[in-house]
Amino acid sequence: MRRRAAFAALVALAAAATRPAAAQTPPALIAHGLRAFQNLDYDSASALLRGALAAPAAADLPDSARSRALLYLGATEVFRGNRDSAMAAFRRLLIGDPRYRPDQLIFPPEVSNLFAEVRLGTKAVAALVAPRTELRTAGDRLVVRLFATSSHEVAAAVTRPGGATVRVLYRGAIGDSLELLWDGRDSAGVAADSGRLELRIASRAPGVRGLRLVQVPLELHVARHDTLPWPPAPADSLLRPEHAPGGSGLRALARGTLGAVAVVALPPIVASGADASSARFAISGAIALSGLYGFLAERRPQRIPVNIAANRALREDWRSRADAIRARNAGLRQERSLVILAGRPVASESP
Amino acid sequence: MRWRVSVLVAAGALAASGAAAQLPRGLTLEGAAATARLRTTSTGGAEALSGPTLGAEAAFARRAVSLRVGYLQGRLTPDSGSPAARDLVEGWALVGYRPLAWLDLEGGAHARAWVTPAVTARRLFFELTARAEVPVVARDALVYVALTRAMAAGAGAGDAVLSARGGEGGLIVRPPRLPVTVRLAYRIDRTRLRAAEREETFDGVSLAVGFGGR
Repeated sequence: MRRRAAFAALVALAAAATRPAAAQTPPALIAHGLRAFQNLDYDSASALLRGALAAPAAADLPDSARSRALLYLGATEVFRGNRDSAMAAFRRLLIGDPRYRPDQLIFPPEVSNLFAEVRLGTKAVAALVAPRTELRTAGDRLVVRLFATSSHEVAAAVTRPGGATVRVLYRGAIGDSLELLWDGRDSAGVAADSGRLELRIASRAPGVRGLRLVQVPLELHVARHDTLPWPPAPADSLLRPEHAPGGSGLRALARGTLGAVAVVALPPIVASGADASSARFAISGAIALSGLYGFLAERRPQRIPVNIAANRALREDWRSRADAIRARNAGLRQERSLVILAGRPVASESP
Repeated sequence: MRWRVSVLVAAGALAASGAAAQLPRGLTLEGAAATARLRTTSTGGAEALSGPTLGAEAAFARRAVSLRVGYLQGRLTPDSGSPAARDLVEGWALVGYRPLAWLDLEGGAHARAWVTPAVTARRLFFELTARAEVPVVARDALVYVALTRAMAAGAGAGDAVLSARGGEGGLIVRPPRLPVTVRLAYRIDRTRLRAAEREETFDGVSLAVGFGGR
């Protein structure tokens, strides 16, 4: 009978050993750990939660799951009497999520109090940046919200990947939270070009060694506006002919000649035999010359004033539209928008 | 006779050559300076006088109707011999109608006085004028010819006008884009009087500058 029981136990163990690997994933380990915590099996809970957090796949855990695992790990260590381990778990939790607070309905005061103690002693911030921000106008800003575990000194700056400072955004104390703005320009006021930058928020507490850093990768894309196309020039088909072909000019010549003859012939008609003034020949000559001039002028292409005025109005209308577009394009060439893509914040701690 | 026929033919040809002269519309004011000559013949002999005159004319035209009033005066001195120098004073008021674009018909009164220290000889004509006006250089220069005939006339006491007729021809220049006209004209008229078979031939060349009426 005992042999049978021992055999059954071996079979069960073998079956358990051959369960799918999915059961060993960090989420599953966390679930088992929480169940063990609720069953007051703190040793198993500690082992399972540590295993979940130490697994290579733990990096893929959502922030909320990781924070929950660390909180329960800390609480577990409190109940196991490992105060330092509990504080380390809480500290790790707060560095990753400074806004996290334990539910006081679930956790007893000894857990909440220790968590609060650790929170006061931990100087870290969390940065919240919109994944995509577009700075289109001069008034647009990238908004960075900082949430602190507790009051301390922070320094926030936009830097190049190598660490060179592009623009210091803030240097000073932070209480609970802080909102920082960046206009997309460096310290000299020069607009940033496309490329990769970093938002670095360093936390430091006076008299405390070590520096906590939150880095948010920023990817910048400069987008320039397209200029407007020029209005099409008036088509030739819309323009009226401005000149008419010249005439023969004979009409003007005939009129001038006949007028000149008439002036010379006036005295014999009106006062035959009179001693008329010879000055009339000068008048007659002037009329004849005007006829000759008219003859030459009529042979030239004749301007059509109405058509010329209509074409001028058409061209001026086009020119005014083109001027308006030229002015608009000059403005568009000056305008540009800066698209800032913010990556996932990464918190780190240096000794 | 040949001259008369030729001028009539010329006036007809001018008229037949077509386009409207587009006479100035609205109010026109004109000032004129002229060199006038007076030649008289009578049973008592001949006289020749000449001298400058100055005149002014106001014309108003609306649609096909026009009104012209003018005044002229000057002093004529003898060219030779011993006739007395005399002042010339003229005034006229004429109403016009334009039946065709190139033709104006005018009628009205025309008064003239020759004033010497001894006597003032007055003439009063009720005359009719036909005036043809056509452009020769686009609308910037026009040529015109006018023929006038007195339908009724009167002279001072003891005399009578047997006939009176006249003519005028000239060139009108309208500088583009300016409300100014410049007129160069030759004018002649002859008056036959009963007393001493007197004939007065008055002619001259004038230069006038007008404003308005484009």
